[in-house]
Amino acid sequence: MRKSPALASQRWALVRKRAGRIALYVTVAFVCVVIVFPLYWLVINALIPGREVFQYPPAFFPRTLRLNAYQEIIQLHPILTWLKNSVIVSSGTVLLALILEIMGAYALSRHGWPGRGLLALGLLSTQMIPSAVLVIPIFIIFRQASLVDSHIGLISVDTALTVPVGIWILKGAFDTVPEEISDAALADGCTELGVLIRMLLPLSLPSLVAVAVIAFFTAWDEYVFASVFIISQSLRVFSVGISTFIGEMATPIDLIFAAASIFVIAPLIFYAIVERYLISGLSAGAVKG
Amino acid sequence: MALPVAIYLAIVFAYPIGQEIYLSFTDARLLDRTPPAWVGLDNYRSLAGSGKFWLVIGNTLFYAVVANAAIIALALALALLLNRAFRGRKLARVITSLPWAFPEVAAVLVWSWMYNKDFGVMNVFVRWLPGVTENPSWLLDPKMAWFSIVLMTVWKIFPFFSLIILTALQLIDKELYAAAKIDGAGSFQLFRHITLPGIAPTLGIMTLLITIWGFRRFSIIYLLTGGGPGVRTATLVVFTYITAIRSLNVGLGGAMAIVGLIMSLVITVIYVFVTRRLGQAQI
Repeated sequence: MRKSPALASQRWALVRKRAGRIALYVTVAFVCVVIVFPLYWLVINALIPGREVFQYPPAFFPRTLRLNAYQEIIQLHPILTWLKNSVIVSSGTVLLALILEIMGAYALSRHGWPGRGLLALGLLSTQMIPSAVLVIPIFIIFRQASLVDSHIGLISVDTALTVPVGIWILKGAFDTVPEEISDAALADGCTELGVLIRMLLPLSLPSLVAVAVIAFFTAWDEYVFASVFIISQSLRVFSVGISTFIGEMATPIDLIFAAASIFVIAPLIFYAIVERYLISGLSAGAVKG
Repeated sequence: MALPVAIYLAIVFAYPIGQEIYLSFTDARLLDRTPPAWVGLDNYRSLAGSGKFWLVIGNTLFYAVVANAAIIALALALALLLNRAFRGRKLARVITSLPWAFPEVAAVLVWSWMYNKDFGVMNVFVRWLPGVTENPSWLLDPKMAWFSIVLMTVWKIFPFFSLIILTALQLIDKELYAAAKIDGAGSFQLFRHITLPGIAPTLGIMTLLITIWGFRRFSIIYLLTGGGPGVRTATLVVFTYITAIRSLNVGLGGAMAIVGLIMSLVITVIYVFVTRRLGQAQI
């Protein structure tokens, strides 16, 4: 039996489509594996017996996994204190940053006042200043204000680091709410604060989530200020605690990885939960610039 | 409402910059009890005459160009990949953006272990390549150290920008593609005439942010190589930190900081000028 040419070309198109699909999935899988590998490697090295860490070539799929390293590192170093301090500083930063960002974004988005463009440019120029430049002058101010060696001091700096980006994103979100709607609400006797709380904020929820996440990560990750401003061991945050392991020889490496994986897992879980808000939240700001 | 925010930011950013400008004209040293003496342009003169400083400027530009180009190219490629419809796309989106949520200090910890000359897993990968018969000095040889820094930077930074491009891609009107396909446009033409113009403003502002964030990036380089060997992998920020905080020379460090700031400002002015010219002004 001979196949009709039409049928053959149809079948050929189907084969090509299938091959395209397979190529797509293979590419995506490959990219995912490459990107996620350092995370996998971190966790695996915390879970294998200590001596196997120094095995070369290393085993990609180790046979024995155990949790001893976690127990040991928690006994050896104040990991849980670092964790608690990081949670305090990061949550505090999120709260303070949200308040300031909402105020700043509202002012930029809703009020036509002179110097608006200048403030916008000022926000951008804050992004050019490295922490290493800011750390000494701010340290001097903070010493006079007794804010050195306190979580409040660190929170206020971390907030300042994240606020410019946050205002930018939130302003973009507020801009997408037509001015006519808020004007109508104002005409109906709603206060400006009422418009902000009942209208702009609910409509900008994804962007609020996005800036909260960015604030949280900024504080969780911040290292330069935390290492200079926090002196007491009991106030030390996780990023600084972890950095003391880099290049030191006393702590076994599997214990270090156990500590690092605790530090990493918290923001990753947080991120995985809020990720879907993030995309739409960023888009409002990203498009508007 | 803008006033408290502006004051807050002025205390944290403007005051230190003013202070830094002043210090850059003095011989101030950290932890020094005597007030600093005015030295005019001496710090800037000694920078201009220092071979080390020009090496660092070269490093900074090299890092900016190479890392940023790779970040933009990969971010665009990943965004285009994830913009296609396939099952598990949301999961892939979460997985590929994880490095953004990965704290930097911990990332350096795991990467420096991966780069370990004797036990690092990167040795395994690189020796799969033909012709590689021994473990490279990932962080000690200047060329390899740059490669290691750039690779880690790209891994850490590009996923976030890929998300941003993806959001821009998803806002492009799908009907434009349908209409162009009816007119017989090929996939390259679709990309060239619909996709690219659609995401151009985002790409523009993103490139600016990647560049100025790149100039001030500190932890990755400082914790990975410490700017070494010597200052071969030190960027301006790292060198500023080493000079001002480790060597206590705040005056000279201040001058470096100001030079760095001017570099970022120049980039921004060029950006504003170009986007105004193209009629895509975002600032």
